[in-house]
Amino acid sequence: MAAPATQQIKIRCNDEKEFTVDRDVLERSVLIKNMLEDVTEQQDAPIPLPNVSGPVMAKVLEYCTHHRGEPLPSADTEQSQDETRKRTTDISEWDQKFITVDQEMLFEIILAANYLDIKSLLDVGCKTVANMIKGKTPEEIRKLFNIVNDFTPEEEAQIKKENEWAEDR
Amino acid sequence: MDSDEDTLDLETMDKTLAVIESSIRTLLQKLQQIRVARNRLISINRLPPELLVKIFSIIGTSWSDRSGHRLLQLTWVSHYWRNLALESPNLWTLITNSNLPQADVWVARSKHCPLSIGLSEIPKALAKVWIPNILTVLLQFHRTEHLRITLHRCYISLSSEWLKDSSGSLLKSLELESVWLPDGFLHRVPNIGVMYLRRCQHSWPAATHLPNLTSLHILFPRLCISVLDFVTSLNRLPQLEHLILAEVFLPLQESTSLARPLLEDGPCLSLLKLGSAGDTEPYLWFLQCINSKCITSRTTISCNFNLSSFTNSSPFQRLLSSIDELFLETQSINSINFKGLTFTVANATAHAQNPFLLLNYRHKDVEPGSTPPSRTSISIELNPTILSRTTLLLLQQNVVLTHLQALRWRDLMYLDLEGILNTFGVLSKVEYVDLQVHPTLLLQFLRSIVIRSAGRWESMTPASDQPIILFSAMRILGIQFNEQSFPLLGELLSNRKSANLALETLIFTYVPDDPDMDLVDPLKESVGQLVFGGSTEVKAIEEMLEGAGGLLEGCDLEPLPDD
Repeated sequence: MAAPATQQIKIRCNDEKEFTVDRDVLERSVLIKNMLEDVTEQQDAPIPLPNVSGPVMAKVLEYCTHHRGEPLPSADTEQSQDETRKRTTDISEWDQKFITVDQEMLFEIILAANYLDIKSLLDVGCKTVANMIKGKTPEEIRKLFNIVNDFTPEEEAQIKKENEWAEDR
Repeated sequence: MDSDEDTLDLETMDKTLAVIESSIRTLLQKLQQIRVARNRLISINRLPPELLVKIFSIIGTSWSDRSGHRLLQLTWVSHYWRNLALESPNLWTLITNSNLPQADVWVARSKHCPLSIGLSEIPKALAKVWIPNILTVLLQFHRTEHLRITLHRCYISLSSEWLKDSSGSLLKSLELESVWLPDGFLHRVPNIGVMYLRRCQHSWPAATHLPNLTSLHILFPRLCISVLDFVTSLNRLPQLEHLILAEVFLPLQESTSLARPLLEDGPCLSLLKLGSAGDTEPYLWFLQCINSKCITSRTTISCNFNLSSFTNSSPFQRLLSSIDELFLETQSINSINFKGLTFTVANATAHAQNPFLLLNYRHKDVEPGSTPPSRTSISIELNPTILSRTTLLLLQQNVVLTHLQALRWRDLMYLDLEGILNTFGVLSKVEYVDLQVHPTLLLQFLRSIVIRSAGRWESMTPASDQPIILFSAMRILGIQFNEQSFPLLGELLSNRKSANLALETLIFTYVPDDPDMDLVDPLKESVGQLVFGGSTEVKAIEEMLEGAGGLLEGCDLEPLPDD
């Protein structure tokens, strides 16, 4: 007996770009999963995703396809703060390669993962940014993200003081 | 007049200056506002604040070193990041050695959020400076959720004064080493779930009621309580799932009566090095548990006993004779560990994944009509450093080995080969052998195997699945095989699987007595290429052999040819 065909779902991004994707791939997104569960009858109309553009969605789908079939984190397994502290910034080799994109795309992926509620992708994105920041001085961080020093003189004075504490160590 | 004019000019100039300064201030303010507004437009700051805080949290709230400093640095990047971090008290709830000097900053910035405190060994030079900071931290005990203080070189005493105004009701996990706890401490931590106490002096009131405690580890305790009272107090820990006691002294007369109350409705137990007045007492205690069959409801029982000082075989023999009964009667037992011997339940899948599960025998068939045990096999790991003829004979008597799967001995210095061979019986089932032993022992062992198994191994071909012999970085010296066994050993070693794993093997043949007896050639033919892989160099071998000393004196060394 042939295996039942996987249901295909159509989605439409904010730039009108459409994708037809296997349901189990799309269900990596809790948002879409809930949407699909709410729809009782099969609909041909694409699911609109107004907060995601075509190129970003293509990346997100690449991630979801690679990780299809993996168990989804349930609400019960939500990390406690203590567990978060033990969390490392390790990222798997494939994920690292996948997330090696320019800054603009990186933040778009994080925003899309947040909107679509794909926790594992959100974690990968946040860890990547954290790894970019780790080990850098404030000045280097500013340079990395094109931030200018915008402190008030009072803040500058306070920071100088804090800096002295740290130096005292 | 001049003076009036001067005054007028001064006033005008001051006014002008004030106007200009005010304009500068306004402009600077405007500049700063524009900078702030500009920074809000850069891509990272377009992330929702909660995501930025999540990133900050990854960077600055791990237990790792310097995490505190990294968090502080994030607040020095920009106005927006600083405000965001300062407005997120959860970021400031972790106090460790790395930010202990600024503990008051963290305490203030964390507002009323629950704290996690982890202080480990404090540098001696800094101890004096840090004491006030430690006090600052400990005064926050009332809002501490996780507390870990592990000081290896000094004891600190938690004064009840520090804890006076605190209920400690938030505390969920506590890990203390070398800390003296004040009386009544346990009453202050009603919500505690995990408690790990090492070298801590404290009282353990029999009436302690900790409804949420699931895990209790007490190592090297100085318990101010009788053992029986302690056991009784376990009944007041309804959620307790894991109990580990190490180096707990059990008076002889009390220990046997411990078994039932400790096990009947109690937690799963791991009794590590449960001390007693006599060496054999723990075994008697354990046998009592088995005989009382009061451990049937446990999900895991893991007992670790040190057998190295074990001199009297009697309790051990009784223990072994109880194993069948134990495993048949108590479905829930997963492992019984002894230092020196490990009896572990293993399922087929685990076995397939782990070639190092050493011995494996199937449990005897269950009587018709009875419930079949969920476990199908038990693996036994032998620590050969303590193996003696007695223990091997005991094994031989009490453990029926029908499926020897893998065998590994490392650092083997003392071995009763006859005993092992008798015990293991059928060696044709061996699938994996990893021997890193003293050459003379290995020699004896191989000789015994080959001689004993010559008949069976005759049928083995390179295509055969067994045996796979791995000689890992091992030297075989002065082999003296007989005419029959020598070619068989060659055949064995030429097995393709063993050859793949035997790249580091060096074999030297030594036939001292009968120079006409050409036993070497068959070995060379079958082994040469595969085992040596063309890598043999006489000089290297000679150098290596120099280290073998007297073992090789008078040897007529003939290295095998490349290819």
